[in-house]
Amino acid sequence: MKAGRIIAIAFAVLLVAAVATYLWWLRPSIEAVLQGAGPVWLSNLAYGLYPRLEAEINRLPVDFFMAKADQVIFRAGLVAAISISFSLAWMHIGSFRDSVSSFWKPEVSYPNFDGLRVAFALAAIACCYDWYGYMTLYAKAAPFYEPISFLGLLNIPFPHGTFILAYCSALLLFIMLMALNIRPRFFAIYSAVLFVVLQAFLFSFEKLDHHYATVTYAFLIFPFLVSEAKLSAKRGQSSIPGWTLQLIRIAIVGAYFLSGMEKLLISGSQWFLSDTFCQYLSINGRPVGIWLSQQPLLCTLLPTGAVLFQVLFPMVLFFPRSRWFFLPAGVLFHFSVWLMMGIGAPLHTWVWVYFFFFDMSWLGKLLPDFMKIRVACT
Amino acid sequence: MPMAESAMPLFWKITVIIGFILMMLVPFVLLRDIYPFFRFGMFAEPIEAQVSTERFVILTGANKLPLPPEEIGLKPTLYEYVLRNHWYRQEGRQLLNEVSKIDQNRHEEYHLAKVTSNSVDATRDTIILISHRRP
Repeated sequence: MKAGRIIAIAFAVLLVAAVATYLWWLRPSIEAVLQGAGPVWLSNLAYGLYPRLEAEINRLPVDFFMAKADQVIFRAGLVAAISISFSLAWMHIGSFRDSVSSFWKPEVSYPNFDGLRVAFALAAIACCYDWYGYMTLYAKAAPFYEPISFLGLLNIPFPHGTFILAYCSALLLFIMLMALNIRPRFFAIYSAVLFVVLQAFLFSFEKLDHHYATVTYAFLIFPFLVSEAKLSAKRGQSSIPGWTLQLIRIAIVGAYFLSGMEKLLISGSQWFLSDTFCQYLSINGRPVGIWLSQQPLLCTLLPTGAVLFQVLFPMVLFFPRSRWFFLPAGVLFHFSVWLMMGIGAPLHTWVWVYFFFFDMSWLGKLLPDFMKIRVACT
Repeated sequence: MPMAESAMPLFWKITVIIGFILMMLVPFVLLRDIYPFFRFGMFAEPIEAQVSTERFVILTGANKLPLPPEEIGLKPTLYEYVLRNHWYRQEGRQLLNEVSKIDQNRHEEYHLAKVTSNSVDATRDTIILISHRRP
């Protein structure tokens, strides 16, 4: 306990020192870099970390980027402070430790797992069934291909012709095999890798979309759930440890919560003023949006409600009954964004993974035997 | 039947949980996507009341007709980003050169234009930024 306290204090001191260094030395250096001077290594770091800076620096004033630099430091400090508080609470408050431990120990029944696996496969197929069409279209625009993330690091070119067909067919096949319970662990991993890689190709044309964010997160974690299920079944356990399911739920909830926090941290109270929302509505030019932009009261109430909805969404993790409010509200939220601004779809892809908050045993029980996980007798 | 017991050692389980949550937070802290982890900053920026929005288009031929995005293999949403970013990176000439090679219609002239519209007085201006003539 004493060592833990010392580590926490050391982190707190480091945090204060880092903020002081930023204010006295790093901030003026960043400002100099943005004005075309400053240390070369910092310039390389800034343009390397933020490639869009090259385009945006010619469009926006230096103050805009300095506000962003301040945000980075503020957010890093905020996350560090929350982490230190969490660690201290874990070390010193027994009831907090018990609550956190029990949060990670739900159990998943085998029919629920089968239902979740099939529902997830259907959601994933609904996401990527048309990627072949997009990939084929983008192949024509290959000169504008700017590979992101690992594609850029590994210098992977945009695929052509038969490779596109092979990759897209393999992705759909792997997802189906996972749903059919044929080597589900392997195909969960293979399909997750292909989903992430193909999506990276689609996002390598100057714009990264968030439409599939929650599905992507679920894909990254799902192989761990399948592994736990297979090993639990092999050992003849009565149920599956559900920590992976909780992690998927945190990822979904996190997407909403962080969206809300972005609005609060970047715009603050300005986001609640009718002007900002009215402008967003009128820019998109949808008939409903244009009508709404002329209603000042609604232009204040709707963004306020949207931010509250996003920031309070994590309640579904701690108060399961609240999902009967937040999940339908989520469906309505995405539908409204589509209706007013023409962004997304009537049934947004983020909604397609809401089933992770429900018991899907009913679907698992409907499946034919070969699609159900076989539990060893003990 | 034995109760649910994790197949993964506790250390790895905690590493996966903390690692994943931290990776979700990194884009939030750094204000940029670190694919496959995302920053959810859409609609976070405030908009000034007297705003003028800008859009970029490619116009073709002497009549200056807009080039449909699909002709160069892009969705309309991506088309706008590709044009805008090339212009602000001062790569407008390379952009038009590539477009003239990709476009099957083989127009004689390609122009990169900026359309500025002001939401307050509902005015709209189109400015030709760069022109390219097929050699």
